Amino acid sequence: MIKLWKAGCRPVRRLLWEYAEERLPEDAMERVERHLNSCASCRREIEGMRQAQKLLVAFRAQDPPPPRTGWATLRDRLTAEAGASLPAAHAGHSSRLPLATLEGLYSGDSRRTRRSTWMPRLSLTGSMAMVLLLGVFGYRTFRSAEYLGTSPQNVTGGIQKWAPNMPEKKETPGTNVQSVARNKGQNSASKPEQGAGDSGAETIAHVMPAADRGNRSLRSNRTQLMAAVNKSENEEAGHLTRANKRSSEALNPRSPGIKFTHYLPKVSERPQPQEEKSSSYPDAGQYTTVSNTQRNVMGTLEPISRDDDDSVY
Amino acid sequence: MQLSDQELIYRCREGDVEAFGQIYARYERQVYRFVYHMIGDPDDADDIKQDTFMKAYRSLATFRGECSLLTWLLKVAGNLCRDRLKSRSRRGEVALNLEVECDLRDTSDLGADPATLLERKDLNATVYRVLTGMPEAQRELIVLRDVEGLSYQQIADVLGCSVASVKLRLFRARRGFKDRVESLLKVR
Repeated sequence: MIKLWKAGCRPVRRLLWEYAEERLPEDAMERVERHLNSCASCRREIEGMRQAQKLLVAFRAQDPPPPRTGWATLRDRLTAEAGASLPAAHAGHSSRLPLATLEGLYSGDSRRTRRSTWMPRLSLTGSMAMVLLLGVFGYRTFRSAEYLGTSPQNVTGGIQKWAPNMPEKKETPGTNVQSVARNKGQNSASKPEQGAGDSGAETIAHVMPAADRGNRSLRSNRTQLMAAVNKSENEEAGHLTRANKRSSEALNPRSPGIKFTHYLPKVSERPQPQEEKSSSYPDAGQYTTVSNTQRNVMGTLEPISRDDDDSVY
Repeated sequence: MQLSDQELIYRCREGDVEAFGQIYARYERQVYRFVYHMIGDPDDADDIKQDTFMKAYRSLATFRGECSLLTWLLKVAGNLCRDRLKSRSRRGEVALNLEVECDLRDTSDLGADPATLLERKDLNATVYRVLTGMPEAQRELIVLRDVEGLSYQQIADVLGCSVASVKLRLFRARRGFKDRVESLLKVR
């Protein structure tokens, strides 16, 4: 029942405003009138609409306050924007804007005018993006050069620049560049001369002793550093030897170092570790010699005996 | 001699600024009224009206004549009104009250009966309060149809939609306006 009532009201309600304004065609007016006679809800609705319409009609009848500015102001603005001074307003054909200006204002050139505002913004954004990209690229290049150890050449180049007569010392590859740079930084006395060295031969001659001192200390630092690097490399090689041996033993189940104890002979039956090393790892000798004592001290490579297994389990 | 809109537009494109002056004289009042009823502040309405004609002057080359010049101008003005209302709401500004502005500026009120003047101010304030409480799109529809008296087709041209859509939206906007007026009168 309610649904039927709503279905009957809905199309009429869309016409109520126009009905109240008496703008509907005659047949629609009659249809709405018939519905209003039988529907109290729509009658209430149309009463509210009539109130609202009265307000709007009164509001429409009032004129707004007169505007402050008129054609003269707009004409001045147009002239100013066109960039050309117009002659007097009532001078016949003199009221035409110069053709070049008008071409800019009208046909298609409005687009050009617009472009003139956004082009600088675009170019600014583009240049900022380029600078950012270059910065990132440069940083990455610097980091990769540092990683690959190309800086020793730079260091040598710097020495040659400061002291051209000094014989160049051949660099051992793999020098820790950052440490060299740090050592170089410690010789703070030699730093200010870097800029002066570029200025001329006299300045270079004046600066030479200081540069020489700096380079000597740099070389001694480098020698110390080289020794430290070699030492660390040897240690690494020792670890590498042991690690290689361990992994090889793990892969070979018949190897004496394996932890699968049921394959292993007893400790007394095992061959001597020295023989193993020399036969299985010939390259290890170039790094360092790993003694039996060291190997036993490491502990992890020691095969687990059956007796130990029994005690554990 | 009264030239048609098309002739005036043609002359403007040829570079005759005075032809644009005629267009301005022909439609300035309607544009100003529409903007004033949308914005509610005569100074802002004046600024927007001038901006509307400036923009129209710059864009006359793109006017294809698919709708009337008035609806095209009202479309430009409506866009500017929306921009202004948005910037206003961002800054938390409120328009000057219409009743005060009417009192200060309308010289026709000088000889009016004080009771009538008061009634008019009250009416303006009520309608303006109801309109400003409505969504912008609904307010625009009410102003275009019930204040400015445009046809459905003209409104469809201004809003860039179909006539059926205008009728449906207008039905909703009027219902909203009526409900707000009723609730306002009940409070009183």
